[in-house]
Amino acid sequence: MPNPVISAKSLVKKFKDFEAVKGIDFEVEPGESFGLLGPNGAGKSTTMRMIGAVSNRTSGDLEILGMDPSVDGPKIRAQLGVVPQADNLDQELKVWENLYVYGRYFGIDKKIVKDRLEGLLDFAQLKDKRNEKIDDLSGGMKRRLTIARGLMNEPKIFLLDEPTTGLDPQARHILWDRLFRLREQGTTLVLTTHYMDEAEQLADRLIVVDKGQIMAEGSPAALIRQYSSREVAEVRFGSDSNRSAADALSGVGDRIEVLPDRILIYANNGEEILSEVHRRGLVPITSLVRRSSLEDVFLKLTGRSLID
Amino acid sequence: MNILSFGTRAVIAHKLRASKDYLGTVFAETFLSPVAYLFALGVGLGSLIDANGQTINGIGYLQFVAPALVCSTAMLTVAGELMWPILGGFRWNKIFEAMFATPISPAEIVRGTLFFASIRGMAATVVYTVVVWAFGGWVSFESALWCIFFSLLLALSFGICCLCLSAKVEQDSILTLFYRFIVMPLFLFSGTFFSLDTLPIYLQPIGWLSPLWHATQSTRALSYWPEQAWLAPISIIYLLLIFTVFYLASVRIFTRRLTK
Amino acid sequence: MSAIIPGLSSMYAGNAGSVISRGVRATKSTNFWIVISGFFEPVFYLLSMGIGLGALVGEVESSGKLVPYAAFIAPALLAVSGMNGAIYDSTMNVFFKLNYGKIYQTMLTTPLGPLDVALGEIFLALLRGGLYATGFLGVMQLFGLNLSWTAILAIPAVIIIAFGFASIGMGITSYMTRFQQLDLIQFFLLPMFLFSATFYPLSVYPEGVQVFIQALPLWHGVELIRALTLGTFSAGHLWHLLYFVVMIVVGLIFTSRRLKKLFQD
Repeated sequence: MPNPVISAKSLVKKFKDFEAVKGIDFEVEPGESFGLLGPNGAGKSTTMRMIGAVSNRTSGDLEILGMDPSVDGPKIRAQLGVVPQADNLDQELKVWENLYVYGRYFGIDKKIVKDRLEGLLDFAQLKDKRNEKIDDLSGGMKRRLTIARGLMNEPKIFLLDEPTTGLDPQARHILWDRLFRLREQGTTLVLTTHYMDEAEQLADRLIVVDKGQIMAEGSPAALIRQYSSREVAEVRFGSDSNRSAADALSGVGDRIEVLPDRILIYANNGEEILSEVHRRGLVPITSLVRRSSLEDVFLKLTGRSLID
Repeated sequence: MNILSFGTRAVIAHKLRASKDYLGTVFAETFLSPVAYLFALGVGLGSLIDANGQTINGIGYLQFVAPALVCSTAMLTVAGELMWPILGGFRWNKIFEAMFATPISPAEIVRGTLFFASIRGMAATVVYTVVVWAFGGWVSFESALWCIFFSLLLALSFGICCLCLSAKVEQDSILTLFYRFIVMPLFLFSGTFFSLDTLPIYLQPIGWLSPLWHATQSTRALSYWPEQAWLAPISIIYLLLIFTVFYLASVRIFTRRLTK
Repeated sequence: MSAIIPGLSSMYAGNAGSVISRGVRATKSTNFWIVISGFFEPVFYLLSMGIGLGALVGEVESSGKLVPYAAFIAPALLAVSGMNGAIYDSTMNVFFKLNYGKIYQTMLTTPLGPLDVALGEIFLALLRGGLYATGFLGVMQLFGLNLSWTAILAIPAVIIIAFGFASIGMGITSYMTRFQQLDLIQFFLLPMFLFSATFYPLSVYPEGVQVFIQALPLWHGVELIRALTLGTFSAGHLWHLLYFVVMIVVGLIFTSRRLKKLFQD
């Protein structure tokens, strides 16, 4: 069993009187792709900043690559790749210069930086944009450049804070493909997201966080198996009628969740549930059957939706 | 055309509300800066000039410099309000796009923004005028009123020039260059701190073209040198002409940029 | 040095050079004309005040020497340009990078420490200030306003003055969260600019006011540079230098602690 590259024990972060992270424990193995899933304000970004050695913990233990970030910050940061939540590319520099200058921040030799940036421009599919200004790039291109920049120092651990938030579906898929390649090459990925599809695509294992605490831990498939049924039937009766319809549906399926705009009925076979709904004389405005997702896991664990 | 139409008033109200947060800073700036300038130039420098036995056309230095200081405050205040915030309104916070998505027309946005800046400029002007009075810088009450009147004309005409340019450009560096190579020289060479005829003849046309010189010199003429009062109507026409030309241009530029 | 600033290793990676090279690159890419144009502002002031006001004021006494008015204000404008350049670079520019460009945030996710960033940015400000000073001194020479060979020493003197202002200014800027607050800096600068014996000798003020102005940094800068360009420099002027050395040390400690607190806490 190799040593974990990240190990957190009873990790706590307080800002004045607000406790953003309330004593969490987790480990990340080398080469693993590890996800933090949770809604906005769950403490994901704060945890990422502590892992990134730019924020000191309030208490607990944290080891990154065998070092303590509050002692060896610069040494740790030298081996991390960081992709922050909002792109913070240097607007005053051209595309290639962004990579070049960033490489120099690590004290990497000019020649090596120049060699590497060619490969990274290629990786980010920005070869023909190398001399453009940052302002002239699309959202997806900026994100890819930020990711390429984070790889400039060939990091042992790659931290991505909500890598695809705000991107259109096509740009997201291109990005996922890039990240998937990194995973195949054995880079350790740590990512936060509030999209369950992203967590399902990219994470081998994840923790579900809410209000600074870990609610559950496991692979996406295991979490779904453990906390949800195989399928979900979603039915809508209109905002005013959902509540009364839910009363009439009591006892159907394994479990029922009433959301403001729809009712979720958890069961092994969704189609059977829909037939049962109709048998009870209820006619939903719309209905659909889908596989359970991490969204359902989150709902079960916290009683709330992931995206409000 | 209703000059103070609903849309125009809405834009002014919006800008006033947005500036409420830094009212304290604005007030302090409006009050402290004239006190500092008058003290330094009127009293400090004035004492040197008086000791040197110099007057300007029979006028003491404090009286000479006072109208220039008041008018240049109006000019610099509207410039600050109508340069970067205009470019930013198109490029950074897209506030004009948001306004244009409502029934407000480009002309109303132009007027609202200009009037707001002028209100700020005039607030500064009035405070300045009072401070000048406290320093004994006015020879008569009319003199102070003329100064406020010309400051208003200057604020509107120079303000619309700044607005027009800033709506046209894409890069904020152009504005920095405009400020350094146009606004600052206007401030320094418009007969502000010394009479224009002290300058070499080839620098004097800067003054004749300068809206600031027209506002300042007309106030001085009407207050101190009645034989030069003929300048005032010319200056009024000149400033109104600038205003009209750049107002029409600004509306066109705003319309084109917003409907692009 | 670790004794002075605890935990120096976590604040300084010895790589301020990469911050400097970033600044030079950004200047080349986007800000070239802006940087060039900054040279003209004090020149315009000199032309306006020197020519225009000179005719009204006549000669002025400084350190027992009667000098033309233009020669009296030129060194003051030089000191002011050193101050303004440093303040601009360490306030407006730093504010933008802190709050909008997020450039420091990026730098500090790499092995760079806050002191690398502070030193790099300040060095850039000084580089610019040094270039302006050289240009301005050239203009002074052209107008015959340098009355002694010691004027050449005004260049390093301006750089020291700029260093003092930049190191403090950057720390102060880090407390600002909105653009309007930057105006507060102007509040402090404007009276200092007007009253620090820039446009007329300190002797026009009553005693109490004189002491107050002598406590402010710009007055020391003006006196130092004026002594150098007028050729009245003596050992008695060295304490102006000491004033700036203290300002630099205090400023650097203050600023890097602030940056550390802001980004790595």
